[in-house]
Amino acid sequence: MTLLKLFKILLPLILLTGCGFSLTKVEINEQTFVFAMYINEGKQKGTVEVTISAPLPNRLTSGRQAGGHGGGDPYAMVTKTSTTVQDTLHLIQRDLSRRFDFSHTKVVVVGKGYAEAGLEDLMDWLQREPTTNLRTYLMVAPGDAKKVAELTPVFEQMPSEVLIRFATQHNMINTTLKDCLYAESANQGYALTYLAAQKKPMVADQEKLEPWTGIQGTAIFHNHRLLTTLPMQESLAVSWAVNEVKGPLYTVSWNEGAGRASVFLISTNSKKSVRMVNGHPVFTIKLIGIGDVIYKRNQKQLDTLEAKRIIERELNDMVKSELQKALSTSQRVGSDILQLGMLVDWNYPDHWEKVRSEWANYYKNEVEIQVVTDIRVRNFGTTLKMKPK
Amino acid sequence: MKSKVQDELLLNVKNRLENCEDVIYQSLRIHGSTCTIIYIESIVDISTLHEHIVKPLIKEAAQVQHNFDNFIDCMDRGDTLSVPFERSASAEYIANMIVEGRAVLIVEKLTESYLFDIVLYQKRAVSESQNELVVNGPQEAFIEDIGTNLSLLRHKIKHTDLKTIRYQIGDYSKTAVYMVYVDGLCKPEIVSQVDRQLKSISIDGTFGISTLSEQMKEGVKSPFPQFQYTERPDSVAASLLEGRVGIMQDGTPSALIVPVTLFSLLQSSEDYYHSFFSSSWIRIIRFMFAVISLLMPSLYVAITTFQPSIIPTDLLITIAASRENIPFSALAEALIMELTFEALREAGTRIPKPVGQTISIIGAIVIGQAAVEAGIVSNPMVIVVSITGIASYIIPHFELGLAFRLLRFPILILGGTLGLIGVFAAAFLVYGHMASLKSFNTPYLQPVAPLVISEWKDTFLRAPSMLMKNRPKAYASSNNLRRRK
Repeated sequence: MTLLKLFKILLPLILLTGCGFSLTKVEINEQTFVFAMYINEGKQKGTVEVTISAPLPNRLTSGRQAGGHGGGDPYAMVTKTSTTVQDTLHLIQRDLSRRFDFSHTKVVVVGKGYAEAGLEDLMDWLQREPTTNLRTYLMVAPGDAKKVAELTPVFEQMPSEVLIRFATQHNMINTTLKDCLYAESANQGYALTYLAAQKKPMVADQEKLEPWTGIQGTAIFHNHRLLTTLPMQESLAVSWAVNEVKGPLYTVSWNEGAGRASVFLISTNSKKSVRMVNGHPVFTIKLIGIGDVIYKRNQKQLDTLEAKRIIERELNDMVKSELQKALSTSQRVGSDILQLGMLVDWNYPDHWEKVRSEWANYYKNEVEIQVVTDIRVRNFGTTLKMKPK
Repeated sequence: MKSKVQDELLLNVKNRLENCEDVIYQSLRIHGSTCTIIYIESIVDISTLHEHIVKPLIKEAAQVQHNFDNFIDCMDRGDTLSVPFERSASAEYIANMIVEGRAVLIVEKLTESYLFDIVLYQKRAVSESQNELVVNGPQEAFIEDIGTNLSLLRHKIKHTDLKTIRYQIGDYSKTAVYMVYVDGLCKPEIVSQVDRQLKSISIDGTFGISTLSEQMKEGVKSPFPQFQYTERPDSVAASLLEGRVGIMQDGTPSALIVPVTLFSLLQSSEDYYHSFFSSSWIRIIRFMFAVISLLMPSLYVAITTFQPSIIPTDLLITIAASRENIPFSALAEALIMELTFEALREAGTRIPKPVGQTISIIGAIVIGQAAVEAGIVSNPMVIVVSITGIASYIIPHFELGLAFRLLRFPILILGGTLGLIGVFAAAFLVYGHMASLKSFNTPYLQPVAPLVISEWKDTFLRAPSMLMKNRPKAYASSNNLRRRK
């Protein structure tokens, strides 16, 4: 009787656990936590090369702080090639003394070649593997993704941390796995951060040439295929349009370079809206920003309201044209990177049902996008007049 | 002309007190008859005995104009001696009274002897409370003497409704036990229940008050205490005014308070001596750490071995790095540390005072530090165990802390074998168990289960006293208005 009561009490608890009910007990020091994955196309056609990057806690033993690596880098990378991502990981696991855990995989970098061939294989694996996180950031590397992994983590312990910081600091659009899956399920496109890999002399390491990774723009996808890339400034405007950029700095010039000022945007915001004109959607993207002038060349221009107006006008024009350029590129390749289709779905669901299956083409040919900017300078700042009248 | 009766009585008493060599027989001759004063020197007030019993008797013997009958007359009227007395003819009763500290005067020719209550046990002075410290508020604590304790309590509540019912418990110890309550404030059912249970106790002796609580059939159902132990008169007084019942026993400095709820055990008398802001904050901290003391080690083990995905990445690296060379599983590590800690704590309580503190602290640090450096346990585990240890001392009532300490181990084992599901199942069962408990017909989780939201202001917070107009519903009778304005 008591047992039955006990069972009745615990039954809802056991039912609540659902699929997450895992009774696999693995000690924390018998697992390896994959922090980043780098994926390239293999040398042979139809193969994929997967590199995993995981920290080595034995190089970070307590007492000795990370960074002061005694015997080499505090992280390891293992590379294998096989036909699919899953197969390759299986191969890696077979050689590895510890069990994989993907729950802390925060960033997946794909090589440009692999991205152009299509990410379906990877996406499928990411969806099926139960431990992966929907908040994993996806990025694109120019050429070989492993080159990005070789970057020298000057400020951080591991290369993967550098990449994660790129995303979490809102330096550029930080598209996650979830965003990609959303967009793709609605037949729209998405944009990923496009990295740059180069060599730079490091002051911290006796001016040696070390691999360095930065951001060079965004890569535009549709159907999980890389279509084209956008340069830096246009990418920034796109990031702004999806509210993913923080504190951008713009420098404008006028009068053939005689006047120049830099504006640091304290707050940036964007609004997207849609209305139907002649049976076709017309989108309005409004970029709102408030900034401070942090630099102004002091020749000829006085600190007048006139100068402020010039700066605001130039800034608005500049941002507007950048976003327009970016959007026209995306329309050209038919990838709805701002997920404007969602707006149609929410506001005009009937219309969306009609155009959904052909959205890429429809977006390419029938959609009009208007860009409105409202960027204001809040603090103009005063400077000492060198030659008072 | 010796009376046979008196002789027999004295002989009977002597027989019963055979081989009790601390019993003193002092003989006097008053108006031609032999009187014997019998007492145990160490437990009677010798100066009273000499000043107010022996001296007047000698004076009486010197009164030449009196005869024996006058003397008995005066004695019976209470003119000779100022000390109150009772009379008895039963040798057994007399012998019992002598070992309880009475002085007995057996007069030749009289069937009934005189018994003087001049008991004086060795006792210490009222001192500061040792185990329930407060910063503000009264400092005095109960001592081993029941008379002093009752006087401390009467000092706090000067009202005719404060009732003290005396019981004698223990066939050999013959301990005086008092039930104290304020008539009209507490529920009569509780009084009659305590009364019934106290009367039904039949044991050899009781020395600590927990013997009583176990005998009262409420104390063995659960690891959670069904009684509140306190050594503070102000706690007892405050509880009585809430409508609870106190039980005090001679020979022990702690009193019992019934009924209790879990939340009353998480309150300290100090809460009412500080401003309500700080008291409320302290209560929140206390609840938080009570939960920590129960669940923290098991949560740590469950999360690190079953669900490492929910640990923040940076913390994960730190934990993984420190666990890298540990030969034991997290569960074994936790059990080792927790058991060591329990042993240290127990040793710390038993170690003689002068060496105690230093040794226990140094022992803990050295063992913790050395174990980490030797790579037997990991640093985070030491931190977890230490926080848990501190947390279990934050619970103001030691008995409740003990219950949490005990329950921690089954929960830890469940957490280490089944993961978070085990921890939650255990927490669920503990909660269910507490919800089913009753202490003298009062639900243990009142005011949470059953829900009495109006009392939460004195449960999770400590509202200003002008807001607490009613006495707690859990104990109080119909007269539950605490403030009239």
